[in-house]
Amino acid sequence: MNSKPGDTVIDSLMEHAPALYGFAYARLRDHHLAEDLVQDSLVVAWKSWDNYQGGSSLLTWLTGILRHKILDHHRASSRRPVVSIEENNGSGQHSTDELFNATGDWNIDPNHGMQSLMQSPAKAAQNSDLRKWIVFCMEKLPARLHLLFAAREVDEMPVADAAKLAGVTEGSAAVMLTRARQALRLCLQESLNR
Amino acid sequence: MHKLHLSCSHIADLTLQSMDRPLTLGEKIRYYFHYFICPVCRKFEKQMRSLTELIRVSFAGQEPQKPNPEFLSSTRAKLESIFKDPNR
Repeated sequence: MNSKPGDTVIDSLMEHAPALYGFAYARLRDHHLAEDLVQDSLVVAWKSWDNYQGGSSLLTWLTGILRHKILDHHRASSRRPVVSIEENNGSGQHSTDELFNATGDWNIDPNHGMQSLMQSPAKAAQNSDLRKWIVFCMEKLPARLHLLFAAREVDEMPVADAAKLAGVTEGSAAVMLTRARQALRLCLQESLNR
Repeated sequence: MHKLHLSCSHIADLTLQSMDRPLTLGEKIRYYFHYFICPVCRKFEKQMRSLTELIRVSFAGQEPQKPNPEFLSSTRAKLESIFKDPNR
C-alpha cells in the first residue's frame, strides 16, 4: 500500500468516527441521520483541516463541528414547536394533566414505590433497576424532546442553547423540559410499581 | 391554598422550573412556605434531584452505539476522494 500525503490526517479523523457516531446516535436516536451528520462533519473537518490549530483535542474540535451539524439539521427541519408529549401516552398510562385535582392537590401519591429514588442522588444512580427503567423511559420521549432534554440534562447546556439545538423557541423549551421531567418521573413510578 | 398559588400543583411546577432557571423572590417565598408544611412536596423535590443525577449517570454509562463497518469504509472513501480531486 503506497502511503499518500494526507493519509495520516484521514487516519486521525477516522479514528474518532466511532466516538462521533456514538455521540450523535445517543442524542438523535436515528441510525441514518447519525451516519449522515457524522459523515458531513468529517468532510467539513477534512476540508477545513488547516483551521485546526491543535488548541483543543481533535475529538473536541470534531464534536463541535458535529454539534453545529445537528443544529443546522434541526433548524432546517423546524416545524411548529412541539409542546405536547402526550402522543407517547397511547398505552393507557396517566397523562401529566391528571396528576392534580381541581384544588391543586395530588391525585396520586408521587412518592408511592419511589423509595429507591429518594435515596441520595449518588445511591440512586447506582441502582441497576432504576438505571434500566430510566433508559426505557427516556426512549419513549419523542426525538426532538429527547434531544432537548439530553442537551440540557446530560450536556448541561443553558436552556437557550438547548432550545436552539432542538429547533424550538426558548419559551417552548422551558415548557417541554418541565413536562419531560414530569413524564419521566411518572414513567419511572409506573415501571417500579408494575 | 390553590387561589393563593400555594397548592401542591403550583409548588411542583416551581420545583421543576427551578431546575432550569432561578426562582423570583415571590416564587421563593411561596415555595418555602409550602415546602415547610408539605412532606409530599418535599419528597417530590428530593425525587427530582435524584432523577437528574440518575439520567446523567445512565446516559454516560450506556454502551455507546457502534457504527456499521460499511459506514466507516464509505466515509473513509469519501474523504479520500476529496483528497484525490483537489480541483473538484
